[in-house]
Amino acid sequence: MLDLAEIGALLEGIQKPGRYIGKEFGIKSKKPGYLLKNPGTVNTALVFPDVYEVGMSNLGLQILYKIINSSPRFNAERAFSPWFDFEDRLRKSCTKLFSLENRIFLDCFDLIGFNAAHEMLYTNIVNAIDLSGLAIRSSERKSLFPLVCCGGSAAVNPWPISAFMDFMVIGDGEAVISLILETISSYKDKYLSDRTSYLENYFSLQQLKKEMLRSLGQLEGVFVPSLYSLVYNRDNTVKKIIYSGGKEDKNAKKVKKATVKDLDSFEIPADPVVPNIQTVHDRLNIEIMRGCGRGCRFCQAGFIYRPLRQKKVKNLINKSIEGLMQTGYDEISFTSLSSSDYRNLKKLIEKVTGSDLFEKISISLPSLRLDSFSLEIAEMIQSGRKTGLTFAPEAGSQRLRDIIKKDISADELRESIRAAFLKGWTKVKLYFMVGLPFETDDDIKAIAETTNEIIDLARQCLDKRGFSRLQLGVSINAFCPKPFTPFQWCAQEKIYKLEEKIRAVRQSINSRFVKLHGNDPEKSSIECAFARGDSRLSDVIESAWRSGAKFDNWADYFDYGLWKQSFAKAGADPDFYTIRQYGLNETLPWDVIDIGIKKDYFIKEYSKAMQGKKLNDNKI
Amino acid sequence: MIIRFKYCKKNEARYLSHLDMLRILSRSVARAGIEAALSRGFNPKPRITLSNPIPLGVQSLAEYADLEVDAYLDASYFIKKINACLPENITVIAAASTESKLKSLMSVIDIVLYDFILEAVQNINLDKIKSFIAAYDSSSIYRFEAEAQQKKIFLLKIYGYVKILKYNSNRIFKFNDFNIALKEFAESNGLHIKSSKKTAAFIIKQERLADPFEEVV
Ligand code: SF4
Repeated sequence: MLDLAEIGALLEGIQKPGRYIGKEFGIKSKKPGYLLKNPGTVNTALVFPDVYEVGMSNLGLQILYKIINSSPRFNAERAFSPWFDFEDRLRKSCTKLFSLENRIFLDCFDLIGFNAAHEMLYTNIVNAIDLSGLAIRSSERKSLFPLVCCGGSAAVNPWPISAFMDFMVIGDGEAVISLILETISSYKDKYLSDRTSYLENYFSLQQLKKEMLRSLGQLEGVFVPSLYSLVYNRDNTVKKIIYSGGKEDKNAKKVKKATVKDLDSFEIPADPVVPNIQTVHDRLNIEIMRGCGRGCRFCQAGFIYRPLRQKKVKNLINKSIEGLMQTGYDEISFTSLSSSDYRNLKKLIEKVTGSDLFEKISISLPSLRLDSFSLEIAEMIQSGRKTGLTFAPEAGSQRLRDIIKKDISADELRESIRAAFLKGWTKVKLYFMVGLPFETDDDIKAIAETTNEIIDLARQCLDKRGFSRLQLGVSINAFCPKPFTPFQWCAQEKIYKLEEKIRAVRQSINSRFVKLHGNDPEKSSIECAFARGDSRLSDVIESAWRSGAKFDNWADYFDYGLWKQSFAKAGADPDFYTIRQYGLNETLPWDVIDIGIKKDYFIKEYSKAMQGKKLNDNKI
Repeated sequence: MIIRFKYCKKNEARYLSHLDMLRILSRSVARAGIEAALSRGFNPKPRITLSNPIPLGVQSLAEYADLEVDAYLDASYFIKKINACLPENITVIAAASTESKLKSLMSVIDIVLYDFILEAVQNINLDKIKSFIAAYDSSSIYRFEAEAQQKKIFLLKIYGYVKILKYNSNRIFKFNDFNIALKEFAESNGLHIKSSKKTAAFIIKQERLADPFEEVV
C-alpha cells in the first residue's frame, strides 16, 4: 500500500492529480483494518482501461462495484489507466499501478477485472497488466493470483485479447460475478489452508490453478482461453475450435452468454461513487432497460444484449429521486439503447419532471428515435432550455435504410425535423454511416441531399433569429462489420474508398450551416480487424503495445502507421480481417460463443438484406 | 440569508482545484438536503462563492465559502448536516449566518497565512532563515514570523497579500514562487520543508488582521 507521503511525492507536478486520489463520496470498499482481520476476503480490482474521467462515466463499473462490495466476503476497488505523465512517473520510480481506495498494488489483488467496452482499449488493458508488475500473457503468470479477466462488448469475440486473459466474461456481469467470486474464494481458502506446501511444490500450485480455471469455465458466460484453441486452414480461415477442458468433448463446448433474466432483481445503484473531479458524463446514470428489440442489421449492441428487458417504472422513479438526493447531482441520464422504446417512458419523465427536484436538475435522454412521441418527451425534459436533439438515420436513402433495417421513413424524418424546428429547436445532430453493405453512389449522395433538405426546412420553419442560431451537426462514420450481426460476413470498405465517400459528402453539403464530425476510417479499420479477429491477433496487440500504442481511442494518440507495422511484424494481414468477405460456411472464431441467437437467423437476415437490394434495384 | 463557513481540505483533498471544490460543495449541500438559493438561467446552480483559490497540492485549514439560502438556516445545524455529506478530508469547522448582504470573500480577503515547517539536518541559526525571508520580495509579504519549535524544527508563518491594496503599493504573494525559493534556500542550508499549509485568511481592518467571520453580524 502506498501511504500519503508516497503518493504525494508521486503526484508532484502531475496533471490532474485528482484522477489518482480516490476518497470520493460513496466509496464502498472495505477498510484496510477489515482486510487485515479477514485475510480470506476475495479482493477484486475493477479496472476501466482509460483515464478516470472516462471510466467513472461507465455505469457497468458502478454496478459491479456495488454488488461485490455488498458482500462481507468480497472487496472491490477501482483503478484506471494512468495518463502519460503519471505512467512515466510510475515506471521511473518502479511503482506498480494501484487501486484508488486503499492504494493496493494491483498484483496483490486476487482478481483484476477489465472492462473491455470497445476494441480500442486492448492496448491499454495490456499496458495496465504490465504496469501492475505482471507478465502480460496469462501463460507466463505462474502465481495463483491475481487472475486477470475482462468483459464487455469487445469480449464477445474473445480471441484477440485471449492470450492476456485467464478468463473472460460474456454477457451480463451481474449474472455471474458472485459465482465467480465464490469459486475463487473456495480456491483461495484451499490455498491459504496449505500455503507452505503449495509454495514449495510448484506443480501442485499449477494444478490448483488449472482446477480453479476449469471450475470457472463451468460457469455460465465464462470463457477460459487456455481451454480452447483455434486450428487454422492453409488459407488462414478457422478449421476448427478445440476444447481441452474435458475428455468426452469432441466438439468444442460453446460458452453460453450470461443473462440476467429479471433486471429488477438487482438494486438500481442510487448511491454511486460521486467523482471529485469533472468527468465526461458527470451525472447520475440510471439504466431503464437493457437490450433492444429493433434488430438493425449493422448493430452489434442490438443483438448481443438481447433479450429486451425493461425495468419497472415504479422502481425507476423511486431510485431516480433517491439517487439525485443521495448524490447531489444536478443532472440525470436515463440510459438504454433505444429510450423511445421504453414502455413507460412518458410516465417516468412525468414523475421526475413533476417532482420538486426538477427546477434544480436537468434530464438527458440519449438515443431517442425520430418520431412525434419522442419530440413530445424531449419537450418535457428540455422545457425552456432546448439543448439539442440527436437522431440517427444511419443511411441517407430509404433503400439503404430498408437494407440495414433502420425503420425510419423519409416522411417521418422530414416531419419530425420540421416539427422540431417549429417547436424552436435549433441544434440538431444527425448520425450517418458510409461503407454500408450494398451501398451505391446514390446512397452517398442521399446523405448530402437529406442534410441540405434539413437546412431548407430550417429556413422555412425558423424565424430569422432562430435560423441564425441553427447548429446542424452531421456525424459520418465508417461502417464496421461486427460479430453477431447479420452483416458479420461483409467486407469492410477499403480505407481510401471510405475517405472518398466522406469527402464526397463534405463537398456536396452546404457547409455554412453544418459541422461535420466522424471517426477516422483508419481507426475504424483497426477496430474492424479486432472485432472480427482470431487468436493470432494477440501477437499484433502485443507488438503494437511494445512499440508504444496506447490510448488508441484518443484521436491524438492513434497511430495507424504503427498498427500497420505491428500487423506486419506479427505476420498478420489486416486486410484478411477487414476488406475480406467472410464465407457463410466458414467457421467463425466467435462461433465458440453462444450469444443466444442462432447463426441461421443471421444468415436469414443477411439474405433478406440482399433481397432488399435486388428488389429495389429492379424498381429503379 | 447567507451562511459563511470555514472548511479545511486536508490530505488527498489538497489535489482538488477551486472548480472541483465548487462542484463538490454544491453537491454536498444538495445531498444534505439544504435548499440553496439558485442562480437564474436555464441551468440554475446553487449560489456558492469561495475564497481565493490556492495552488493545487497545498493543504488548507482555512478555506471560506458563502452559501445563499432562501429560508432560515441554523449555522450549527448546517455544520452537522453538511459534514455528513462531504467527501473524506473536507470538513466544515465553523459557520455563521446573516440576513445582511456580504461583500464577496474574494473581494474582502487581503491576507493569506501559510505555515511552513522546516527541519534541519545540521545546526542552523534562526536569524539566517529570517534574513532569507526578509530578503525575499518583501512587497508581497505583509508580515512574517519565524521561531524554533524544537531543536532543529522551525515554524515559519508567512502572511502574504492576495490582493493589491490601493493605498499600499504591494504585490501579490505567489505561493509557488516562494516555495521554490524556500526550497532552494533550504537545500543549500541543510534544511528541508517538512510541510506547508494555508492556516488562515484575514481582512485588514485599521492596521489589524480581522477574521472573515467578523463581517457576519
Ligand atoms: S441501432 Fe439502435 S434501434 Fe437499432 S438495434 Fe441498435 S440499438 Fe436498437
